[in-house]
Amino acid sequence: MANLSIGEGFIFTLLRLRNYVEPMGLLNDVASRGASGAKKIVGSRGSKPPRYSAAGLIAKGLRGESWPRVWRDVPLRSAYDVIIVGGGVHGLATAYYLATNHGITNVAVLDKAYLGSGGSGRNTAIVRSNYLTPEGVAFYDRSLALYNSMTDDLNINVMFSERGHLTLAHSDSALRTMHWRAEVNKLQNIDSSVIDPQQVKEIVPSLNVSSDAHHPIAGALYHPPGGIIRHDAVVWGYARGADHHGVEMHQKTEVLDIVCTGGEGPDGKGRGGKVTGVRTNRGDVSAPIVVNCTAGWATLISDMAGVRLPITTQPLQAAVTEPVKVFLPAVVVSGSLHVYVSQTDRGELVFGAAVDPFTNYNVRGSLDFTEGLAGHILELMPGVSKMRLLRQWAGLCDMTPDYSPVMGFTPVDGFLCDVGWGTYGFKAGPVAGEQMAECIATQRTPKLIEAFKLGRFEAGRLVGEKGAAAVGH
Amino acid sequence: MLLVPCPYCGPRNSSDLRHVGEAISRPDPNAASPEQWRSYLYLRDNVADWNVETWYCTRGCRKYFKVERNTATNEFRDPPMPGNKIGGKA
Amino acid sequence: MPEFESAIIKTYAPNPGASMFLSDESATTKLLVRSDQAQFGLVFGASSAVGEALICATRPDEWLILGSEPAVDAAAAGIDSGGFTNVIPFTHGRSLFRLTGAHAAGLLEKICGIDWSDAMTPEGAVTSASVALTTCDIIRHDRNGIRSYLLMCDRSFGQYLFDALLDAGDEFGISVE
Ligand SMILES: Cc1cc2nc3c(=O)[nH]c(=O)nc-3n(C[C@H](O)[C@H](O)[C@H](O)COP(=O)(O)OP(=O)(O)OC[C@H]3O[C@@H](n4cnc5c(N)ncnc54)[C@H](O)[C@@H]3O)c2cc1C
Ligand SMILES: [Zn+2]
Repeated sequence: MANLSIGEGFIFTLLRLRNYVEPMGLLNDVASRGASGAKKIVGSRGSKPPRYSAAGLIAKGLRGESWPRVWRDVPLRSAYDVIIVGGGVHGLATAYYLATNHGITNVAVLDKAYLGSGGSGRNTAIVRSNYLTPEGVAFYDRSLALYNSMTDDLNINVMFSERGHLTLAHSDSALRTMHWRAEVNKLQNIDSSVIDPQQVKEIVPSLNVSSDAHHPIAGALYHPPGGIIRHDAVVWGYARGADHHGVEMHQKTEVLDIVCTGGEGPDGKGRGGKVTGVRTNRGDVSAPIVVNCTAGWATLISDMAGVRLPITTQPLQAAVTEPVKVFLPAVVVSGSLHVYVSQTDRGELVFGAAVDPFTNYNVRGSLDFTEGLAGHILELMPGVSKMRLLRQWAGLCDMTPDYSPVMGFTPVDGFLCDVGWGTYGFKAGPVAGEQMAECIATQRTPKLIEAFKLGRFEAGRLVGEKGAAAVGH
Repeated sequence: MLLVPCPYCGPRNSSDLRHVGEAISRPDPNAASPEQWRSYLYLRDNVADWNVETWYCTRGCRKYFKVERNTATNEFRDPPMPGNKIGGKA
Repeated sequence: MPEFESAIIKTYAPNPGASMFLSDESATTKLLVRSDQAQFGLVFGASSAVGEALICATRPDEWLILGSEPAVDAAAAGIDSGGFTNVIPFTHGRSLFRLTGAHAAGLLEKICGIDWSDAMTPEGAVTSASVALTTCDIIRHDRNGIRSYLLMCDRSFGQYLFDALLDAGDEFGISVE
């Protein structure tokens, strides 16, 4: 628990005494509790939601008090200024920055399930900015900066552990890509360099760096500012912050159709049209602006507005082992072996790989995945052969042809997209929210996301990030 | 794991095949505008429903074939498939 | 044709009393026929002995002739050269192994997704599939009533596949032959 302060360690001990299974069960528990006496507090711009503190926990524990809801449960109204479809990190961050940076608070975030039920609650929480294109590097670096101050900004401990990120190369061509990335990174002042197998071994002693391995390690791209974060806390932090500024979150509210007028397609949808609202399972809601933040479901939502996206949906799986003593100090990624691994503060190894090899909307795990994973991990770290996998799961990923997102305006007026986050979009949540909020508030595409416009596919100006995002996420 | 119905080999684990993707028609490269060509390259329906798609039997018969799969449930519909049994001595 | 020499390194000590055997038969002459014509009256999945040679329908439009050089030459006389027909000498391009033993199917089922029961893959069955993640042509070709399989893969994967089969066969008491 290297990155926890004494106060938090104490909270966890208390929680265990009270039979909470998971440390952050604290928030989970609060979030799911009924709307007992929730009162509407709308924060002014610049104010923050209250802090969770050890003293507060002790006081509440001793008095046997329960916790207030983290965000209000209010009735769905019939009109908003902005509707955000999808309550993952992207939708919530967009809502939060609309309220805090631009004072736009008449905003509803609609999710068909619960907040964070999509990729935002299923990812392996790796954040980094050592991408391949100058556009990508500048964009993800801004996100890293926002993550760095997030615990303070949102008044919630997001447990950002800046532990360093290693992308291994097992061949000359992979090493060449690492050098390429390192040079692009250095030009933009990103801490990123290529190191040799001996230096890899010094950072991660448990790796097999011998030259007689089946796929010997030829070197690595080392990125000290990369690390892992507590993804649930990020989701809840943004939701709580947005709520504090008056944004409404509506769970179990599924968007069934998008209402448009004037477009060239059927029902006034499509190019040249204009959005007037959405139909949901809880009734119709009107709004001049609808933002698609639905990741794996992105094309289903954009089809409702008559907008075609260059996106296919593929599940990505992950798995976690039983906890053991902390031995893995950095995040380790191997593109050639299709695996990556990090160790949580609780000692579990978290594994991920490449997306499943065919498109579908299923989140079932597969034996092919665990088999491949185990084989490859053992090649890297023979020492973990006796460890048991506890769980495996999957989430839907919205894959684009160039591994870069699709952001901003579409041919339908008032319909915006923040999608195409593939296997790498968690780390982009803060910057995407910030930039989308600016895009909505100013009605202009901010410079930082100019390269990610939908029009780039028709224009043939792709932003190829596959070399930096296919397995590394 | 997914049992893919190869019309030549019978049911095979998806790891023996390659998913090529949605079955789409290729515009005439001489007549298509750049926009048409790029939508052929990049745009897909990506439905959560029945969809006709192309698979390539990499490890088996090395044939391309089309089959209808429901991308929400991973069921195949009416696959034109032989039984499980493989030939034998003639 | 140059003298054939197998690239497979066999540093294992043979155990004649073992219950399962793996042998390197890469020196066998191999002739591949690709054709849009029906050949030898054999449909995909079937095999048949022609003289001393073995003919296997390895794909819907592909046949493989195995045997000694004179036997393969004799069988090749039966190729229908109409239509678009290619005949390719494959001897040096492929490794060929024979796996023999009462429990050979059990070994294959560990590393290959095909159902190797008698009902599904009887004597003479021919298929192509991944074996230990290597694409192989596999022919069920029993020896003296004992279950036996011929496995053919790209020569560059031969050493890997040979070692992988021995590794997987450990629990069945496998030995090189
Ligand atoms: C296993 C795994 C590991 C990953 N690892 C990493 C990583 O290490 N680093 C990284 O940066 N990224 C990673 N990712 C990617 C990352 O998780 C996603 O890109 C990111 O979470 C997308 O966030 P989002 O808010 O756009 O979408 P999501 O969090 O997926 O949210 C979309 C929401 O839309 C809702 N929705 C869908 N349809 C409707 C509808 N009709 N009406 C209303 N609501 C609807 C869904 O319920 C869902 O809550 C990983 C993903 C997975 C699956
Ligand atoms: Zn096939």
